[in-house]
Amino acid sequence: MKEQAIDLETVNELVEIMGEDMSMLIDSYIADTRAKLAELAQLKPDIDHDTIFRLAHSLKGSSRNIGISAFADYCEEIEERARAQTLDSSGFNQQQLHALFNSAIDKIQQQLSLPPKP
Amino acid sequence: MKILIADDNTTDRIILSRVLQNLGHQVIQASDGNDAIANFIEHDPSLVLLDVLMPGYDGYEVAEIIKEKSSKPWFPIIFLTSLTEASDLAKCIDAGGDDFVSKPINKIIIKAKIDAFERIINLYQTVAEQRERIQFHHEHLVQEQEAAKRIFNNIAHRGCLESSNINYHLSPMSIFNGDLMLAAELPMGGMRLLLADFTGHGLPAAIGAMPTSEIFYGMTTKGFSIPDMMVEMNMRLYGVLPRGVFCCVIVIDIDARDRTLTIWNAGAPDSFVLNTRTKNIEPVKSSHLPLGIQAPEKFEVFCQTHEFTRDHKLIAVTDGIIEAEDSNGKLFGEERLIAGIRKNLHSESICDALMEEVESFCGKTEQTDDVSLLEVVLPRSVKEEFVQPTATSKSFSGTCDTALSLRLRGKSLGTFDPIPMVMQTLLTCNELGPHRARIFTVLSELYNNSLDHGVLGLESEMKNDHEGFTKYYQTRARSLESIEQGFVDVSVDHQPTEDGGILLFELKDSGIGFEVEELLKRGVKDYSGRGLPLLLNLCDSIEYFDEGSRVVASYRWKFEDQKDKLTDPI
Amino acid sequence: MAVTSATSTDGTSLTISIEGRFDFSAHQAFRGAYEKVSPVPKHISVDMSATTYLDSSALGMLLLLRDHSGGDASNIKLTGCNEDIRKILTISNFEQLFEIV
Repeated sequence: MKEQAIDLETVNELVEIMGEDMSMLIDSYIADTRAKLAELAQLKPDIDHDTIFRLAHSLKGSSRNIGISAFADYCEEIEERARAQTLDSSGFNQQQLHALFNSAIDKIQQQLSLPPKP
Repeated sequence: MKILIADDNTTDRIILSRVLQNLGHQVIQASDGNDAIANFIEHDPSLVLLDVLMPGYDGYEVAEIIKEKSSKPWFPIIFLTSLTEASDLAKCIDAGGDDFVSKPINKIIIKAKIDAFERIINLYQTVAEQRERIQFHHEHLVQEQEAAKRIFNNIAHRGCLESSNINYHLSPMSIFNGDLMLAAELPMGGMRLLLADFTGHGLPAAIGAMPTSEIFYGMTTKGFSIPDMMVEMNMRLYGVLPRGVFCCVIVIDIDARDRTLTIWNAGAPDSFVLNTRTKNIEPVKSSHLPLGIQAPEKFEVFCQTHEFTRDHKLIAVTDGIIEAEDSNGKLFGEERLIAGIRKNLHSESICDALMEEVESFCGKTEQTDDVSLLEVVLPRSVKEEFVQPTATSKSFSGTCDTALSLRLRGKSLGTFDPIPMVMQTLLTCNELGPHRARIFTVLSELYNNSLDHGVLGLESEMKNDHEGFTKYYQTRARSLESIEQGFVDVSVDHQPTEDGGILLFELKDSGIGFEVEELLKRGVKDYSGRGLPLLLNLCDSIEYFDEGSRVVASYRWKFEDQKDKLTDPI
Repeated sequence: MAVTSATSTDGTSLTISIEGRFDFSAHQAFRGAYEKVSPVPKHISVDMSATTYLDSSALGMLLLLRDHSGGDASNIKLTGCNEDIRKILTISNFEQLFEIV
């Protein structure tokens, strides 16, 4: 697992693109991700690998866009294993997912309240 | 540009939309396949960004559907994919996509790709617009040409080309190839034909057809001579045709009574006078510049006159047949033409036989589009065509009560033919319509006798043999050219009677006269065809005075004379 | 088809040479050879020793040249004509308008 919870460069670029709507984007992302995580919570690793693959893939993609790297990396691992159908309960730890997600969110919101770097 | 983005991932969609909006594009968002298709139909975007993995229809399926539904000839689809396998990327293109972009989207790359596609879209649009404009102009042009063709066909109609003594070949596109063929009956019996070849193709070549046919029909029906008509034609074409455009022409007069053929060839390939009995083929060469080149002041016409009996045929061609090519580029040529004529001399239709030769030589029929060919023999009978005046009208019209006289002196005798003008004046009296040919004959006969025998002193015995024929007309032409003295008076007195009218012709010439009694005795056996016997036949009375240099002839007509009851003056 | 031209040093004579087919494709080049020469040269000759073929549009071009050079007052020679070309010129009676050498 990587050290970086968030990728600052990506975040700053995103601020440039979104401008005032950055918080709108983050809110949207959070809502979307929470919904997907809730869905994931219902799934069984050995049976629902297709669905898990799809959800993990999506989460990975959007998280990378936002710059939430560690969380995205974990999603990628899940995605690969789901595709190879080698997923088991150890490779798909809900709590870990949630933990990574929450800490990343905190960091971002912290970052966003700082003034933008020159 | 208007861009459609289809991505089920909200975050990705929001970010990408904003990136494109920042670049100045208008963005429409769709969150799944169905949404994408609906939005595509409603908004008709110029470019589509499609996420590959979507619920419902995936990106590939959406691509197929919208490409089919689009009314545009082409629009770009860029797939958004986080798949990295080469096979997956290739599948994007195979599915109808034009490019792919990997997620996460790099805004520099997406901008570059979109700009590139924008250039291609502009190119497509330019091409489509130009093609539409060309199509429009082309259709317009075709319509104009069709209209022009119809106009020309009406105006430059073929006259009496369908007469039984004529065989011809003329392509339907002939006018647009610059070829024109006209035929009309001469008022005193016989026929005039014209075969013309204007330089160039298309509309410029066809333009000359109008004034030419107008003049041809106008002057032929009034009985103007070939030289008079060609002077007029050359003058008009010289003024109308642009420099560098000219008209090669052959004009032919066939006199059924005199059994002569008068021909003038200006710039066309040799025509041929054939004698099917002696098998002689005599070429008639071009002896003048084509029409439209020579200024009117310098323009002179010298015709050739040939004997033309039932044994004779005339073949006239334009250079189309000479220049017809086979698949190797070899030309049909004049030698092959002459050989073809000789071989088919006794065919019912030499024209058809020659056309077969050309077709078998060329191997394909498109070549015959440029070929114009005319074959003429003596007409069988002289028909009269005119509007029948209403039988019940007994009113007099026009010059029904008129006296006119004219004296032509010296040079005028050589340059002016008074007959058409006198005829035109007389024929304003509609009731004379049925009598036109006979009156023309009487007037021409009397005038020609006064001129030829009276003033010029020519002996009609000269015309008694084949050589004499040519010599006679050559001598006549030369004499007329150099004439200085002499005169002919022409007077016509037309008076109405109770049941019609009476025309009194009086002609006086400056000649020494002739032995009237002698000629009358010999008359019936006279080989030269025309002459006193004919006049005696047509006129009610004819008297000679002043040793033969003055003649008075009378012609009586009645209202009830119907055209079919009038006997053929031959 | 190639059209070349040469003017004498004193500018009084112009020779236009035509190589190959003299037909409509020679139109622009032929015109270009004499149009801009000013004043109009007194002696003009068209050298057809390398000309293989002449059609009615070429006759038209010769007429234009004659017109440009003063019409009846012009003095144009057509040189080096082969038999076929000579025949075409004869049928059209162009010896009345040009000197055929």
